[in-house]
Amino acid sequence: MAAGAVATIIELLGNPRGRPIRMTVADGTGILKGTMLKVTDPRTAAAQTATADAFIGIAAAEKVANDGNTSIPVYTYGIFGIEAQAAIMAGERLIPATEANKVIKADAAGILKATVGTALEEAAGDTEVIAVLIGGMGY
Amino acid sequence: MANEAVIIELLGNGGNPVRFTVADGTGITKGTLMKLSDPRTATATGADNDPFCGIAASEKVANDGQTSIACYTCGIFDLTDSGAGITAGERVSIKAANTIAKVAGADQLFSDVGIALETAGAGEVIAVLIGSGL
Repeated sequence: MAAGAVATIIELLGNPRGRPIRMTVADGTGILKGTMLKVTDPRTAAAQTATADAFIGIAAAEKVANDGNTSIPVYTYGIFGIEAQAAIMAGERLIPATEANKVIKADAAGILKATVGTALEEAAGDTEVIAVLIGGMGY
Repeated sequence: MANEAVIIELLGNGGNPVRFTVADGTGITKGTLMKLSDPRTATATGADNDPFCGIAASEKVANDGQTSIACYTCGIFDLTDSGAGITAGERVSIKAANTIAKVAGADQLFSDVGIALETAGAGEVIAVLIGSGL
């Protein structure tokens, strides 16, 4: 098992498309477009690396390390192709997996934080890419 | 009332305002965290686990003849922690009038407020993402 590929856009929803929000990011950090991001204090985004991470969105642009930029736009609303880490049923709420850029179904603890979204397809197991609705359900 | 929400950024279509019925005799300050009651009626929040329905987008003067009010449902707002502290990324819900706390298990049965974008010490004001569906 290894980190998943970055998320791919299937459909950007909302207005403006993908309802991007801007988050602070460390200048020294390199982030690929499509990376699943977590939120840390204060209003800062970093690449998701663990299942305990609180998801905040998908990187809408590449951030080159040490390019002088200290913020990044983050998609919060759309349908994205994301790798599963384990079996998932369509309709299940998802949280970050233990590996970067992958998702697993939510548990009782994971749902107390920001979740990734809702699975629109079933995944048989690790590395299968499924369509995930981000920012669509829940308040 | 105190601790009204402050707009940081309206998302969607101008904060995706939704209009709710309100009692004419009620006075509501702009920025008040609102709870939902039947039928599609908004009043000011005041207790733990009040079902959140948005943030008052304008002032409602008591007995001014108005019987509806617009509530923002999508954006980033400054909100006040109730005193227990919140960690960035945690889901938050209503704790008392215009204050929030991190969601506990049973709180998920009611509509929550949103996602904390910052960590809060006791009583601290933090940025909260509302209506994202995350």
